[in-house]
Amino acid sequence: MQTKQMAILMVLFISLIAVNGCGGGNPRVKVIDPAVTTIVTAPPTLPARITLESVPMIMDPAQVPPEPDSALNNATLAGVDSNNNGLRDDVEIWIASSFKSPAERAVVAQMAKSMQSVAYYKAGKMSAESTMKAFQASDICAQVATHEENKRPSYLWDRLQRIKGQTFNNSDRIKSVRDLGQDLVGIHPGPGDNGITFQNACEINLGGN
Amino acid sequence: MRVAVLLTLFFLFLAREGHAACIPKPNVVLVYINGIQNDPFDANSNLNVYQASIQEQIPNITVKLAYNQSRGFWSDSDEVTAQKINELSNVNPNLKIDALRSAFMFGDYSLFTEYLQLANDIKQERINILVKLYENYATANDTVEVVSWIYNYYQTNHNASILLLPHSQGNLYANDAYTALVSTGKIPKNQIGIVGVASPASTVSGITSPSISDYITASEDGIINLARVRYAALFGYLPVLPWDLDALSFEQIGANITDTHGLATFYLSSEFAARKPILDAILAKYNNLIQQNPVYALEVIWGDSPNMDLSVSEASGRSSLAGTGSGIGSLTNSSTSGCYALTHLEQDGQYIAMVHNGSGSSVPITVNAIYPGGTYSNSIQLAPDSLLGTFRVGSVLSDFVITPDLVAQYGYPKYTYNAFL
Repeated sequence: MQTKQMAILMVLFISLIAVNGCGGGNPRVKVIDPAVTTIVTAPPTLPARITLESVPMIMDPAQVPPEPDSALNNATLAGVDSNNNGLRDDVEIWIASSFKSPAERAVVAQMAKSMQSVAYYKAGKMSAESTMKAFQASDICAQVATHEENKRPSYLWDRLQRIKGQTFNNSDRIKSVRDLGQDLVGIHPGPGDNGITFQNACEINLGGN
Repeated sequence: MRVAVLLTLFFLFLAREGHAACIPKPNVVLVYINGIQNDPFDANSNLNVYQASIQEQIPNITVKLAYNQSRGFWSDSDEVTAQKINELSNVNPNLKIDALRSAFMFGDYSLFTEYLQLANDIKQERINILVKLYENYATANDTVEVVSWIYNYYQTNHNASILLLPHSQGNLYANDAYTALVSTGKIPKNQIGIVGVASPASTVSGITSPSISDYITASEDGIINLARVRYAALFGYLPVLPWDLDALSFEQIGANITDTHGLATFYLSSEFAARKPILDAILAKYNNLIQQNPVYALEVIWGDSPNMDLSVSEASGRSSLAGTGSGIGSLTNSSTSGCYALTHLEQDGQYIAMVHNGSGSSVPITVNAIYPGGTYSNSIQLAPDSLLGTFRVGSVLSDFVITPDLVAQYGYPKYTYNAFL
């Protein structure tokens, strides 16, 4: 009897996961773990812009924050941002060590900050619309400020996937992106409607890399 | 004499400037629908690339996104399967479900190692879920959302024509959306089109014999080729549109190019041959939508006379617009001019435009009318407390006709009006 009950519960559980995954349930009903979405070890609001002063590793890759405690970094979506510049420390360290030129580090840092905004969106500090707008700006900036040699679509796409992989590096963070997609329904401004242009997309533009 | 010529040129310049300001933008909204496994970042990045590419053909055009959510590989894949089954028309729904069950029982997902490792009861559960997904197809998947986005773009852009630009699974959504919106009369058939890329669908909605002007699928597209084999082998009768383009050059064929499906990375990349046919097809359909949905605009320029106002009564008296208002068309008034723009002829009939001169003195005005057959321009003196004529549009009266007679019928008895035509 107990085994049968367990089996029924398991089936119901699997069904619930699968049906929600297929869109057959009600995906708008979300259970949010406050511990995950609380901003504890990062600035309470996401800085509007990165600057060469707030992100010194852009010009000098040795100037990075200390490696964060892994458990603490993964305890919340926002993780650890000890220098309060809008970049999670582990992501900032990765950018410094992965990209050779200051111009490319600036582009990638802006994109990483735009992805960090998902944590702030989940914490109720940013709207889904402004979160996507930040990304759209960073992506257009990537087109503008990337050196011709690296403007191959395959390179830009691969770089985007690497930054995403580094930023959304656990199941809670991956799920936060899916939640963002759900909440973008009906409120999505396209490029051209959001005030972002080739001229103003970059927070820092060092003129190619 | 020279002064007179210069003055004439100056006023012509002013009129031209005003004229240009009044012409509405071509009212076609381009809507990109992404494929599977695209999170919002991927979809937006593709959107940016698509827009930048299309702007080479159509300057300043913006592209909207109807986001097809990704909920993970299995869920997305289930959606595609349900969509493919749903493509079958005139087939008993029970047979479709049998096909669906057969696909799972006899190896559809056994292509994937991950599936082989699932316990049988979980496989059965997945079959049940997919059957339920199919049975509730009309309301249970993202089609509802995609349709609502497209219809929202249509409405919020003054009933603009819609050109759908789906990629991969987005083609299945585009077909469904087209059918849903046209069959219910929400969007007229002549106001919506599709240019598909990398299509796993069996057709392009609204097109009898789809060709490279309607969809572009490369012969080298590994994902679509897999889908073609998979659906043909497992369902037996679920066709996928044939490829219509070789995107790789002879040299590239031997160059170990692994991504032959991505929108930005392959289809729109200037490194490969699919980009130009895609942009050509978009431009052709864009122009076709504009031709089928002409623009009408009426502009009255009165210089700096703040007591002048243009008002418009729309066809069959459906809307009466004054100041700054919108109905079937949109009206704006400034201290120097009034402008009425009709970017979509939703209703044939008489559109009555009137100018009230409340300035207390005679005012010189210039009238510019833009319509599919050409333009009309005239300049007159408009007396105080007077109204200016009307224009009519419609399939019966193919051009603007500016006559004063209808003004009296529309009841402004305290004013007289000056006829100028």
